[in-house]
Amino acid sequence: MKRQSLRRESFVVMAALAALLLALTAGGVSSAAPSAHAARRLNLSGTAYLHLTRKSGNTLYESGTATGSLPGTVRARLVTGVTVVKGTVTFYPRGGGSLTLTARGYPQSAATIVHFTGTCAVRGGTGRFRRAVGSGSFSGTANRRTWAVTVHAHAQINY
Amino acid sequence: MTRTSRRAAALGLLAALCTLGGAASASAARATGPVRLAAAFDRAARLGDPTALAVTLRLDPRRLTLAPLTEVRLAYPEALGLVSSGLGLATCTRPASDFAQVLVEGPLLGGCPPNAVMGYGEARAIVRMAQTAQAIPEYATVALLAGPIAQGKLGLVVYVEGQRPFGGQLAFAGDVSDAAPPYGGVLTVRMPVIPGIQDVATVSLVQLRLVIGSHAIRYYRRQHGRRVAYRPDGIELPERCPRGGFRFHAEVRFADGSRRSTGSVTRCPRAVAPPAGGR
Repeated sequence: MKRQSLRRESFVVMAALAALLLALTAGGVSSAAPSAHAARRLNLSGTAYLHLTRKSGNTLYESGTATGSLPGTVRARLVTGVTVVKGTVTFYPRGGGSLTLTARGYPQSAATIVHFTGTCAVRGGTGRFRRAVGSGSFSGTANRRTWAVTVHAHAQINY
Repeated sequence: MTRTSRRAAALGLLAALCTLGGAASASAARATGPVRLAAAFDRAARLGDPTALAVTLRLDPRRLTLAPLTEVRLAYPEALGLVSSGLGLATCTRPASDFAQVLVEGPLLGGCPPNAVMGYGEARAIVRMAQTAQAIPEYATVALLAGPIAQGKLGLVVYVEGQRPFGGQLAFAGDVSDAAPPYGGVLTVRMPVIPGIQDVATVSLVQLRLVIGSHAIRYYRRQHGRRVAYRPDGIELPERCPRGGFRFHAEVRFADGSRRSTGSVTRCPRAVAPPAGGR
């Protein structure tokens, strides 16, 4: 009887320990997660100089260089609407990786040199930017005869 | 200009106006409706290259309301590059009073810059005199110009130049707005009744043909300090044809509130240029 009571007590203790360990383990995992993936915040600011590489209907393909926080090369695919231009822009910084964002620009005039403003959303990338998210804004000019585009952009990203 | 001659000019303009209203007709050759639309690219057009786009709208006045035409809308395919073309590099800005009085005087194209021209065309209309019921065919030329961006739309200015038998210049306002797929945009031209004309005659648009990116367009640029003329690139064709071809849609609206619409499909041009030096 005494032996049975001891066994029952030890079973209860073991179960309690297991539960405690499980709880501690679970808590450890969740608390460890942020340190394993400490999000870094980056304020980007720069200028991109693009030139036309190809046209297909209402779509413009451009490439060029970027200066500022992420100097390197840039490629863009822009779909021209009547009063809005939507597109995808990918930055290839010299430091490696790539950063892709979607942009939506609005022309402010209809002339040879068009001024525009817009907003962009960071949609990830490769390498160190593979988990990047963020948003920003831009302004610039486009020459509608040559489709040379200059864009000044500001964005804040977490990656 | 005397009142009579002004009225005659206005009649001509009206006819031209009616013509303006037209939009496009293309594969509509077999269509039997009172409104037909057809759209065609250059014969030598190639996918991926710029081209002129000829849009023809035909109206059968015997099968349509007698009310004046007030608006013409043309929806063009999403894949066509109108904004990405070389057209409309300048802006034609006219006072609102021009569009209210419709019948305008002044220099050709209202003195607007040649780099604002996006297309040329022609219009045919029937002018029916109210007192004699006489039907007079009128022929006019049409010019489509880019206007300023306002309220999320690209403005348009349309000039109709009455040629014969009536003369005179009419100015109409319009715009280009974005459209839901499969269309990329809608060109709208508003044609109010010319003040002082409605009791004299009625004008029925019979045909409107507009060539956007016409080969007749000449732009000018400064090169080494000199003014050099060049032909701007027309509508940009995509590198791939949309499934089923290029779809166009036109709608005409009349003063009594009635509407008529029609569509057309333009076949795909050739994809690549034939190799030089034979087959």
